Amino acid sequence: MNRRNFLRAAGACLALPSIGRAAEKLPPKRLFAIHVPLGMMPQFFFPKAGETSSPYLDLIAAHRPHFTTFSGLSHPGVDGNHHAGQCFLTGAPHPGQPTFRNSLSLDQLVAEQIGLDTRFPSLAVSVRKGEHYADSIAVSRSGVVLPSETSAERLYRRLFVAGTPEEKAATMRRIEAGGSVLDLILDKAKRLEKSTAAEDRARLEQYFQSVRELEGRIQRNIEWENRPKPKVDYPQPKDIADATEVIARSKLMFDLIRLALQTDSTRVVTLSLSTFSVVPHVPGVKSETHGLTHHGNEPDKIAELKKIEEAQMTAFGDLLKAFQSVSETGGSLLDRTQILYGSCLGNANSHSNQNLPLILAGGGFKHGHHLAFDTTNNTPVANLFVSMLQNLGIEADKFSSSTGTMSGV
Amino acid sequence: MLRHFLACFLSTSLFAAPPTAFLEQHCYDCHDAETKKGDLDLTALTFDAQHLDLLVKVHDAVERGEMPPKKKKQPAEAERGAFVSEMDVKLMALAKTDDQGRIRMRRMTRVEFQNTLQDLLALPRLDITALLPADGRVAGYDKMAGALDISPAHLAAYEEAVEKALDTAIATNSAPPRVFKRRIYTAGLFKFGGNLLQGQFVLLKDKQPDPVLPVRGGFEDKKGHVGDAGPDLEERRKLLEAVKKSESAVGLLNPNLAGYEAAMNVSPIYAGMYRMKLSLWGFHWNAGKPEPCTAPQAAVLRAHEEGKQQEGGRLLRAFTAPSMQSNEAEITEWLDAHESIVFDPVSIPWNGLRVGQVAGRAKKHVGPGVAIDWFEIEGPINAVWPPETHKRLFGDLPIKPWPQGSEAVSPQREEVRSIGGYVPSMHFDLTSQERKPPLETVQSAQPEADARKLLTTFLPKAFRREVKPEEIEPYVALLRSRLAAKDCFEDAMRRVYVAVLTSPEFLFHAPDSLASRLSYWLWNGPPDAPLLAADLQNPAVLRNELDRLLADKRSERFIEDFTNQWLELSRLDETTPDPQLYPEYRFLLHEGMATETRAFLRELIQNDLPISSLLKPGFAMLTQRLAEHYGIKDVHGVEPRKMPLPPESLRGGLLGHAAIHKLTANGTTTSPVKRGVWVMDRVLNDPAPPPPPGISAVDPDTRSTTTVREQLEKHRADANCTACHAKIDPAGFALEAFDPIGGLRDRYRSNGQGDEPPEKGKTDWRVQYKLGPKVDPSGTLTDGRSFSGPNDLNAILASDPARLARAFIAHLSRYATGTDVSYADRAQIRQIVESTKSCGYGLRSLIHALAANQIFIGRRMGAKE
Repeated sequence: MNRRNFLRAAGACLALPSIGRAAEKLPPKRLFAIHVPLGMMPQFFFPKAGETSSPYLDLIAAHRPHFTTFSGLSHPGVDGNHHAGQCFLTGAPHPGQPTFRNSLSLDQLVAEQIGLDTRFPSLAVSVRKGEHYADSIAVSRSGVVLPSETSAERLYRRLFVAGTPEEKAATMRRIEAGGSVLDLILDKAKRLEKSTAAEDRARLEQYFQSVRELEGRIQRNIEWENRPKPKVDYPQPKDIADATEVIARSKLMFDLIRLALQTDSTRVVTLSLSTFSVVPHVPGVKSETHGLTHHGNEPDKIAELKKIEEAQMTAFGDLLKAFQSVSETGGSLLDRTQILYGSCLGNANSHSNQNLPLILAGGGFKHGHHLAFDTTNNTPVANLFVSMLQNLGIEADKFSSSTGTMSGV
Repeated sequence: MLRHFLACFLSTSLFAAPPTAFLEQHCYDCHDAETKKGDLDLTALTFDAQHLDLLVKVHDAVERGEMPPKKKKQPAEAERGAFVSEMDVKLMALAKTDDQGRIRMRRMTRVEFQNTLQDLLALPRLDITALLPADGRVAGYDKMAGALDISPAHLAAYEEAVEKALDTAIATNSAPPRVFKRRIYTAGLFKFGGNLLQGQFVLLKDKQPDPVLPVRGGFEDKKGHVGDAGPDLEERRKLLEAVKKSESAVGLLNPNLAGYEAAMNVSPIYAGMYRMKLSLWGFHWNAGKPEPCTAPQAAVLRAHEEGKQQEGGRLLRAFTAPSMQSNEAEITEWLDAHESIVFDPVSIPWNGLRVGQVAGRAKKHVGPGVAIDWFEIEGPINAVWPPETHKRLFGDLPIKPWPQGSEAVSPQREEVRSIGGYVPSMHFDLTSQERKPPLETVQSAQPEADARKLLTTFLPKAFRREVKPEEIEPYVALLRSRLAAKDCFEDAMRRVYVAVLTSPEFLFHAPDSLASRLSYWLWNGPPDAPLLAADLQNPAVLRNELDRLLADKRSERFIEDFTNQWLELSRLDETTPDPQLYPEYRFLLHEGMATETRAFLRELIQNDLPISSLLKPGFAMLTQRLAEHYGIKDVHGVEPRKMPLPPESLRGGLLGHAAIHKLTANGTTTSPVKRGVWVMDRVLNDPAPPPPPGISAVDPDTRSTTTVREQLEKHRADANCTACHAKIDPAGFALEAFDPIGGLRDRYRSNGQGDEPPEKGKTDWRVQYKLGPKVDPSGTLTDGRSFSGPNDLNAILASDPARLARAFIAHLSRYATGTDVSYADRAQIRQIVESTKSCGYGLRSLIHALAANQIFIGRRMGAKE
């Protein structure tokens, strides 16, 4: 059954899971991918040969049994320095080239497979100032980078705040009206097709597909609109207006995402934490991050950048701690959530996209070690993705540029 | 001419050798299945459409003399010529069968979407591109069909964007909002008051210190500082009470370091057009009093989004502040509700120390300053009511109170509010009637008939073509169903407009509309009625329309968008220069750079200047700050002006533009490879092939033990690298003469070792960098010609204007037609260029020639009309 029909069928018959799961069933597995667009300095991230720790990993040493680190991994053919951010979860080659076409990202594939039972098949979130290359790492099947949510307030509202009856009624009317609009424009497209040259039909076909997919979502949206949202013991946050508070903003998003996963509002989340154009509010830091990443090997700049990256790593450690502290049937939230943390840049100073810094935490894998692959002849990151897919119960033996599964995971 | 003759002669001659013979003799040695140099096996090459790109590469490499490589045995000239001609014939045949009609249907880019919506609804300002997913790029252009996909995310985003535009356009009251008008004397404002207290700002009357509030100083501590908490503050606080009502001017002695340091404390309640006036002047502050300064100062007004006073803000306008002379300036701009207005004296340099950190405060401070006498704001200005934006949607239908007993669902209304709190300490007193106006909405006694009438006007504009009556009916049917679902007329029509503006006829550009293609090229927006009605088949009419389009204000959108894409000016904001290495880089320099390149292209097109002017124009478009940066004297003011330059000047042409230097650097270091790639691609339309896989970039070192040029020596030492880098690097080496912010240098700035720069202590900003190794801007091109610096390079490149013109047309045609340049187009491009030879390939003439050519008009190659 092709995907579109499956979606339609799923929408047409009330295939939503009942609220109140049987206690014996295990909670679902989730995927949470975090991208740090400006990377982490390799001399402080990667353990030396034979070791499992490093200056940065020392900061999260308490959680060592729960994560695995990697070296010698990259996406073959993915170059283009910052452009590679949009390929972090897709592995589509040569993002800087004129002929580049992106492809389906790991999280979107997972959302297709396990996301449909939740209110949000997936969530794309980002912390950033302004628009940059790596504002979102979620990419649709047609290679379109999906927009990400930047407002914590709005995210909270979408997840946990039920509208007033008037608002709900208005939303329902909106959804229904939306359906009529879709009907109309679909019809217009059919008429347009008749006078469209053969070479242009593919363009129009994309339009058709998009309209139909939105139509497929309508039934789902109506049903979810009628469902109560989960209650959480966490007050509605206000957005942190000051962009220099990038660490505080990251932590706020960590909290909301944890709550979203905990309440099964979604099972697939991507988060981009950009420090581009920002002088992060970290003691001792007075320069803009991207400029610092081009430190030219100056010790002062390296020291300042290190403070920023340490703050980020520490915040990540807190995230791991928080996920561990949420107990679910059969373990903790961390055990049931794969958390991928890494960057498309192996070395920001030289703009290298090889030897990417990567951490995989949770998800029920056996952790605690560092997997070292060849740093001159890298192994495809997508091999790890295949292992992750299989761990999520998804049948896949290939993803993007993979050559197999990741040995050792 | 000779080639053509040869081709005719040889292809018909018994002695014509098939191309494979040439390949066998001169190419297979290196490019066969075993040796496969450059990963290329020519023995497997077949002459079919599948291999078109490769065949073109082979043709080009041989024609340019790049292959066989110089050190191998070269074919005789006649033999080379014959091969190239034979290849040309084969390629033309292949390209023709490949070409189904040049111009394809494509959707609007997001900027086109915004501009179209803006023009349709007559909105003075519309800012929705951030709501839409980013467009892709093909060959650097987002106008290309291949770059523009549609996904559900797009459709959902379009709907959101249209709703936002409708929210602004639709009037919800029968009477216009109350006009707010006030003159503000800044001494009474919160932030100004705080700064006056501390002594960062000074109170001035009649261009002298106002005795009512003395200049702060004295009470210095042991370190010579006047503290934030000094014994004088009690007294000053008392004096400030009187100052609150003062009409004196306030002089600012440092630039804004955080968003709202000099906030005007005023924020519109209603979105709309606002007339803003201010009076400002510049001075040199000399330890306690204002004196004339040698050049004018400058300040800006910015508007900050609600809740975002700290960051960014959008520029409303820059103003010149003449020395000791009040400049009264007026602007009328659109402001969104609750945007707050901030004043920023941007010409005051930042030396890393606030006035309060300098010993002695204002009493001892020496440096530039900007004074503001007053600021006035009036608005929202509505010449007519309901406004034009509303009329575009609802014509003359009346706005009336919500009908009693109506069964329809009432429309939603935004809360009317003023912002309280200290941010705007002056807020507008709204009556309860104004806060919660009685519900009114546009009404129709015959909704379907009225909808039909409105759409009869709206649809042709939205679809950019004539519309048949039956095309209107589905939308009327939608209205009917929404009314049946109990939508009120206003909401039902909103649904209809959302449907119109997400219909494929709106979103896609039809390949057969010449008028539309012209306007989306030269206006980046929809055509107007005269253009749609014009008989563009008539060459004289076409010429007239082109000139009209170029003369219209909307052509600014073309200049901005084309420079963003062709010259990559959109990347100017990508990096922030290292403040340690480039302390002179601040807002005015950034603005000046972008302004230069845009004004430059405008000037070239306006006056039909020859293509060689791209590189050697003999003038530059300079603002005061940019001229200072270039070391060119006597340019004053924030507006750009045309300054003639001596022939040996490095400035003026593209390769001398600071904007180009900045966007091809990373804010800290320069890369000859990056700049070389830019020149090859953007100026010469000869893009460099991508680097081989697995090549790690150079690890830059700004401790300056080695120069980047030295680090790139590998490109010369390694034969694998030389093939491409001998072509790419030279232009980059010449441009090493310019640092990452476009300043001329003969030594690299360093944060590590080096000598003290001669400018240290002589500039208004703090110089902490040192001077490192010498810059070597010399190089040699692949044809053997060498140059000693950028001037030589400019001369060399400008000596082949036909080549520059062909490159320019290639880029322009990508932008104008959304189609890449194929082999089949080359003959047309040559024709276009040839036709403008007599005027030196003037830019305006080139535009005219492109518009009249098949490439733009899009007829099938060789097909009869």
